[in-house]
Amino acid sequence: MATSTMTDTIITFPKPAARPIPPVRETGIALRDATQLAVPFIKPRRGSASATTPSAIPIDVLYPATKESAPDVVTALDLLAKAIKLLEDARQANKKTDMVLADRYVQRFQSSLSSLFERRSIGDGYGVIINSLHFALVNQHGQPLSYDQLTASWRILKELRNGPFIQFEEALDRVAELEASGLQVDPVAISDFLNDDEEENE
Amino acid sequence: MNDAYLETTILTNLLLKPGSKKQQAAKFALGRYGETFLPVYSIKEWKNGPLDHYAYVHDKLLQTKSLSNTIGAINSLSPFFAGYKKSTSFEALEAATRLGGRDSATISPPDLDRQLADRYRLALASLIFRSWKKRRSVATKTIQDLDCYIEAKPKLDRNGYFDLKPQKCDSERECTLANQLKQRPDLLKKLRDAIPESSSRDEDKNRRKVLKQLINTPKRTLTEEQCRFLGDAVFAFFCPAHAIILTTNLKDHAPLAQAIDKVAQKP
Repeated sequence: MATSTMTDTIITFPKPAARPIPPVRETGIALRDATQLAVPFIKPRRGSASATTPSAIPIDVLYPATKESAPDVVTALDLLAKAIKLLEDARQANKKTDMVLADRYVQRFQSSLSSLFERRSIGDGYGVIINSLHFALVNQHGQPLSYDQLTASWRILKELRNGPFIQFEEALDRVAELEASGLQVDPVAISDFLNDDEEENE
Repeated sequence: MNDAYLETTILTNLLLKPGSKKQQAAKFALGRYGETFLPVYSIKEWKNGPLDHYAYVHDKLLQTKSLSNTIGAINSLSPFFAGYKKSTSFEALEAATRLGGRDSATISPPDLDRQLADRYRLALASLIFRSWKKRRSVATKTIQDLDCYIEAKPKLDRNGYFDLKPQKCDSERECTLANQLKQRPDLLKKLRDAIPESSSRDEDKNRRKVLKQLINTPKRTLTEEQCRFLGDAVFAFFCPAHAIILTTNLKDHAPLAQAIDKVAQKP
């Protein structure tokens, strides 16, 4: 903003046309449209990107939807954006105590998980987060998610969209955060692989 | 007695049976006690037993990329070679993944099989690593560290297969527990006498044999293998006097505990 000392006329620069950008929330950075920014390249830190890492190049610039792009990554980014929006809407509804509406958004989010998992060739870090969310919802048996659970899921998906090639070990930290929010992230049937013969029969 | 000494089956139920009634029962049981003690011997047996089995299933899923082939392979193993194996069914495991909506009915069987293999592979890897991280926080205290055993974190090799080494104690040195065991031949005799001489179980025969050696020839080195053969007797021997042995396997633990005036309880 420039100020003229002679005439006190305030000159404002024209703002770009409004775009459907997800707003910045408590954590993470805004996911911006690829055409908007011109920022200097900053060498990324070793390891995966996360919502708290100042990545200068937006994810949609890194993986634009062109013919040459890896289809799984591009599709996953699109699906993740939609999933994040659904969870954000669910959070807002929950905040307004409209639990039915919140649950409806979660049902739609749940429907997207199979498609998200189909893109697991991105990496096991990506796969284990999506898989954990899948089983978390299976284990809810239809029970609505709490605000904390919605927030944990939403935040972690935002991080995942920002860094889909997350290392497996770091992804497990995210899974642990989902678990800490009260979600049961492991399939109950997993213990079907284990024999109980050592135990005394009733 | 308001304290509990956790045997391997309790650790297994707490960490490797998520969302199950057995896990619930174990958690509920822990809440009954003032202090709960987890001996590192439990961790060692747990890593070498059920955790190793989960790692095997994970590796089989990675190898075959097929849940049905993995189940077939596991079910074909003789129980003699795979004590922790259990017969499983593809249908049960597939049903447990259904989330509704666009479900498995729309996917071709080979794709479904591969998808399920990936789901359980990822779930197993996640559970193995996360349960390892939690192992020392299930009880109020983790006790009786073993000088001869390294608690090394599970790893994935460059091909994605699990590497759980070391799973055994250092065989270059005598078992850390040997000294304390040898100092109480009176207790060892009682433990030996609690095991029926007529038992045909290899577990019982091996245990008696090792106890007999400890009693009669204490100068002989107790090897790593012999320490493993002692198994349940270790829990009875090393359980603090003010604690009960918490286990789901009362059949084996109760007689041993009783022989030396200790108590074993189920959750």
